[in-house]
Amino acid sequence: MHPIEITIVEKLLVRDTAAISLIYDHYGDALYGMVFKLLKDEDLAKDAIQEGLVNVWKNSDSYDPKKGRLFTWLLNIVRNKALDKLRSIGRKPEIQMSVLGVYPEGEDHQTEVYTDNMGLHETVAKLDPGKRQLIELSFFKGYTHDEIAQNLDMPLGTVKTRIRSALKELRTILQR
Amino acid sequence: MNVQEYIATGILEAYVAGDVTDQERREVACLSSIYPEIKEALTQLEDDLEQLARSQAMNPPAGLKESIMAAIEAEKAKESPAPLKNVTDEPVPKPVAETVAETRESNTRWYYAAAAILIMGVLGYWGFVQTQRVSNLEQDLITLQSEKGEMEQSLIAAQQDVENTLALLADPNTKKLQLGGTDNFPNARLTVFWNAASGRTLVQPKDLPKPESGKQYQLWVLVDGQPIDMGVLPLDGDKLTEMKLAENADAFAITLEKEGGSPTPTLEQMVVIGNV
Repeated sequence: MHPIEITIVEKLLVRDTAAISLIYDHYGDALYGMVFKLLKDEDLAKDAIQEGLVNVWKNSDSYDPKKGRLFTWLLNIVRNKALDKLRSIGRKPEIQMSVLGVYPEGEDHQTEVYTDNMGLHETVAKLDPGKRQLIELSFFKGYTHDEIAQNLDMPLGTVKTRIRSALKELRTILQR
Repeated sequence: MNVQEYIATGILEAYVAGDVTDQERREVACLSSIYPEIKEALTQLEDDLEQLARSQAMNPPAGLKESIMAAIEAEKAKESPAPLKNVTDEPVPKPVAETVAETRESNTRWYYAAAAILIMGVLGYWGFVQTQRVSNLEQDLITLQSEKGEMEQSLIAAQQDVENTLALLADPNTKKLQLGGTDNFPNARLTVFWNAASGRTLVQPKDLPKPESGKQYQLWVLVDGQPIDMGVLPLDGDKLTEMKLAENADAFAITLEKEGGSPTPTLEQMVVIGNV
């Protein structure tokens, strides 16, 4: 664990509000980025972060370091808020069915599928299109593995193993 | 169970993304406590997730932090003891209705009636006074209960502080450093507690001379020869005080600055210094 994570967890467990301030300072950007990619709207994203962090505060003594790292827990709470908002405004980001239905393996259709390429960091862009799509759909667009399997007409197991291999490749890119 | 095969199914990736059923979540949590390879794989994935999120980080709009902290404080206020219920005064006994039937015929009856009224009036007034007393006492009781409640809250908070501090002091990662005086301040001493893992830093300033008015002591941490501000010490009192966090430290020092501190240390006014 990084030193700052230890400090935040200590403060969370004694319900010191300074924990939230530290969380915002150290993780705010990363959390906001994820939520904004889901919601694509500044006001909604702000609300999701705010409501998410209030939830973090309310449940602060239920964080269990043995079950996982702090950031994972924070991200899940905040993402769930964001997904709630997405559902409440009746909008889930669309998988462009027609294009994906006939999604080819070749490079030429790259730009067509990823018209929503804005902001996609070059790291993720270095993945091959199939892997990039899976990361985008599951991590940034909030689709469950089930939904992805259905929409891309892939077995659930395949979705899981391909995501795994996508993350492995991502890790290699990030470590360079 | 074949651990590698289990990992290869990609269930861990799904777990980290929050995309598992409750049963799968329990299964992964349980297996990771049994098999260190699974725990390690999970930790690595969580690291990846954080890296991935950071690669997409965006600056939130201005004012969001303030708004969040205000919401947190509001939530915290809601969690304090429930507001006390209002005292409802007992209804004051109705003034004695004076129904005197004056009969021209009987003076005796009039006297009886007058006596009855008098007695009832006195009783009524007495009852009223008693009720007021009771209601005042109830008010006092409620005020006391409220104060007791507040004191309990402060006590609990203070206890948590103490436990927190004790935990820090007992932690094997916490170093106790004795800073010695300089030529200008030969008799000054300071004890610093620094936890290398969390960066938390506490000082015990009882052996520092009281600074003259308008001046204040400021703590610095030296890293690679560079001094970094760790905050000012409180003007009076010699309690154990928590300062800013120091991720790394080669040495600590105190300088005497003007009240409020200074962005850079006044080296000629160094009071104590010591190496880690």
